[in-house]
Amino acid sequence: MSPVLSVRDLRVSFASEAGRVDAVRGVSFDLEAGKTLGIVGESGSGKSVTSLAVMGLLDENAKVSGSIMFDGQELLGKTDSQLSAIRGNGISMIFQDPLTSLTPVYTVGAQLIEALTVHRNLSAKEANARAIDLLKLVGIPEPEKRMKAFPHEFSGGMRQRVVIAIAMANDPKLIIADEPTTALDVTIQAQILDLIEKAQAETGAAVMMITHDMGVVARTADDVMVMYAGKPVEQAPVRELFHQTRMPYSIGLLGAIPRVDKAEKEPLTPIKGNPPLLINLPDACPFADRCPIVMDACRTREPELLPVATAGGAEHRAACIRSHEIEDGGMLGGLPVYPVREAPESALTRLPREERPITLEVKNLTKTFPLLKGAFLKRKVGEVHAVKGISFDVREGETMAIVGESGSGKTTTLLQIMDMIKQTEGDIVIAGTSVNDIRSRKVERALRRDIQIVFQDPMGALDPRMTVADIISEPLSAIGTPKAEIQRRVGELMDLVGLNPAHRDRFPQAFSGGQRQRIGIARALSTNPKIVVLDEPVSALDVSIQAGVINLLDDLKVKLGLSYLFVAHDLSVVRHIADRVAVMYLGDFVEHGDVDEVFDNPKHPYTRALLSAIPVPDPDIERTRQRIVFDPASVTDQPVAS
Amino acid sequence: MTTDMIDPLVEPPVGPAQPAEAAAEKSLSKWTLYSRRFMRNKPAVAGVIILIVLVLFATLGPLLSPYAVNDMDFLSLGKGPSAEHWFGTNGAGNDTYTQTAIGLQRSLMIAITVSVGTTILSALVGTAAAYFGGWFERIALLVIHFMMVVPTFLMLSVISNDSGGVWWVIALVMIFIGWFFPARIIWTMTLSLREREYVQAARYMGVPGTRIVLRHLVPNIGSLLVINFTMGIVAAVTTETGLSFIGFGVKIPDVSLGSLIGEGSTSITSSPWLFYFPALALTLLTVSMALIADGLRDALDPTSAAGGRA
Repeated sequence: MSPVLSVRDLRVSFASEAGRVDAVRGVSFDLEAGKTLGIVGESGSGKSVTSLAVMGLLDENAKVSGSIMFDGQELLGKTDSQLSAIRGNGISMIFQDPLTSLTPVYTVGAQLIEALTVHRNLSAKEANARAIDLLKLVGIPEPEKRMKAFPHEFSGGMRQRVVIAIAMANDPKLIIADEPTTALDVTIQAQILDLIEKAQAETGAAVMMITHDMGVVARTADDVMVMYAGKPVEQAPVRELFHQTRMPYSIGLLGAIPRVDKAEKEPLTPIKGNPPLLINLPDACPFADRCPIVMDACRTREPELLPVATAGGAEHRAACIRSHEIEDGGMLGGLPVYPVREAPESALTRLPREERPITLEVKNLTKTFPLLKGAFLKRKVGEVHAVKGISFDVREGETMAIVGESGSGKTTTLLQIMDMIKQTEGDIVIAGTSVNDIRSRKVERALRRDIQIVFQDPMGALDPRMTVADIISEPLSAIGTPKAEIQRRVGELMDLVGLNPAHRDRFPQAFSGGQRQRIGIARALSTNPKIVVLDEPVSALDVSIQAGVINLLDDLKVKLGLSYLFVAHDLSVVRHIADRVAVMYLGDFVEHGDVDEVFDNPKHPYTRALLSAIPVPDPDIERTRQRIVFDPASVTDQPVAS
Repeated sequence: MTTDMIDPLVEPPVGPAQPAEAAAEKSLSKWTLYSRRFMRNKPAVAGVIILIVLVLFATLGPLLSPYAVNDMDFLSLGKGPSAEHWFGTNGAGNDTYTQTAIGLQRSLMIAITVSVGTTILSALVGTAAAYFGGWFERIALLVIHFMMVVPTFLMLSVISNDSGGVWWVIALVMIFIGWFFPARIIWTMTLSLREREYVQAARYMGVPGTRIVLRHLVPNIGSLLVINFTMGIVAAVTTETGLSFIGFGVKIPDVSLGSLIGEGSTSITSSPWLFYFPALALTLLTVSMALIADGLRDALDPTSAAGGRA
């Protein structure tokens, strides 16, 4: 059978002021009908550029060479109007952000019909009927009615369904999905992945699945291509790649992901350093600077993607001169490729929980938003209960995690604590001081020393106009620390979080994402707080970087005896970092207890559904797992607490 | 382009793998960084040089001339440029060189006062209104919106005429009628800035509100303020020129570029030097300010091509 898509030696470069950026440097693959190719890589690895090159959607200043054969035709060199006949018809694309991939001013039906009529001669009636069929197929209830709805009337998951309906409208031969679930909640992600599979079965199309999530790959892909610095570094069928990994980068990627199905507490193995800049790359292995098993030979020539013989016997290629030495399970000569770190431990963690002092106590926290009506004089017509009276405590040296999907009220809870809102019926006690007792600004400011926050977006949380030293010292100068003391402390803190103190006068944009997050952590630690609130601290980071930040948080907790209040939607990270966990749903804790207890033995149906929806980076486990769907109507019993 | 690759122009990844070029504990300060970036911009440096020449001309120029601004040389009335009168004389025998220098001095004083005044006032009112919200915001917006419907140029003309053309009264009135438009723009910009996480972070650190306004909000609209300031100078010079041109601005015995240009334009065919020299000074002033504005914006911009480097 001839492949639907056959890419040979694809190269893409962009001209920039700093020099030529080689975004894609020689990608080759074949994709057959009905098969799925997973392309994995971190930001800047060239995976999105590859997909855009196939679609012919690259910027005008991009130089593209090589060959892209789709369905017997060469795509490179075709004009934009020739490609328009193929785009949306033969090849369709599902973009990452469903919120922006639909035009807000047209109804969903109009956009579906447009996708249909642009490539086919359909009468208005036929097009309408087909559009309704498509909406029904992607699982949108009452499709006739929803045809007339605008995108903003749909939730994120529903919009992504519409995008998929548009993508499959013309029975394409190739569907390109660029991070289709990254912006969605886990339970929705599972449904969307199922739907893409369904769309594939329905149309018989080949799928190019671009993602950074190894779990998604394990679940959907037949073949996997791992990309690094614009080049594929390992290419193999999915089982082979996960079980007989031969390239240090892929091993690192797999080792850097926390697993939701295992109660491991040993540190993750981060890949040190950052991806190289794609300008004037030397003729050397681009991974050499980050590789734990680098040799001198790695720096003399860039290794080619060559076949590797493995026990599985499948077609397997890797770009590493030591790949034949590497054994299954990421071992080399009986030792792991990535040296295992010692798990940090302290006297505090050995003390039973009950004997440790409480650093944060929340009793019956409630938040309601009034529903207002009227243009001028606003009348209260009702209330939305965002948080419905939750209680928990965090003790010294422990991590309490709140997990939940968007809209569960976890961010509202955080803001209530950080804003130190006085509770009418409950109480928030921070390091022994109740917020209900705060009488003056001075007391409040003093209390803020003990509670600090790290934000999700490492860029947005750092003032771009301030140097790193100014940023880190801001909480210190807010409490009136002398200048000399601040100078000393800044150097100490940068050292503590693994930044070079000599970089103190740089601006935040000179740092990579992971380093920026370290700056944020250093700032939070500057006042020696007792409790640090972490608002999705790693969700904006790449996997290999994420592992480093998680390990840093683990180390700091032990070293400084901190308590963390950790808010996240990623349950794998929570399982790894947290001691206790609370699952939040519609403003209430549905389950609350010890992390292993909750994850291994979930009592509430919502927790079970949530846990079953998370992709596990192991194709064997992932494809045999039973997914539990949560039906809100089924909840009649009270929340479980242990 | 919707790729997520690292744009080398925006974020040069500086990893620990790369050696730090300056291992000294205290390396480049913010200000040396800014000045180095500014100095690399050749047109901006040219603008600074022109401005310095103009300022020197306005301050030291009159000392080089043997004539005072109101001296009348009855032996050369309405004569063109010569060895005695470098820029010629007007019909009353005043030395145009001296008058241009003094006029430029006056115009610069008015322009800088007005521009500093409006920039500070608008930045403080705009950011504070957006950050503090509540009654403060409501009153500030009420005043701004009220000012917008007042015929301000008319007010300016009447008041400056009443004052007898005293320059600082004109400057004060120009600040009074000039601050609210930029203030409203700054208010809208700050509204989005207020929601940024670093502002929230500062609040959670216990940084007082006024400090947040001064340390976070004002610097982050810095490029806008710089442009407002330099363009404000241009606008103030032109407003003052216009005012003097129609006879409401600076009055004899005081001179400004506007009054000189106004006077010169009436006799542009018979004695063109009366128009061209003050007009040249005005043009050089506005062009140099525009070039400087450009250079400053690039130098202060954190996302500029230079990144975090010098």
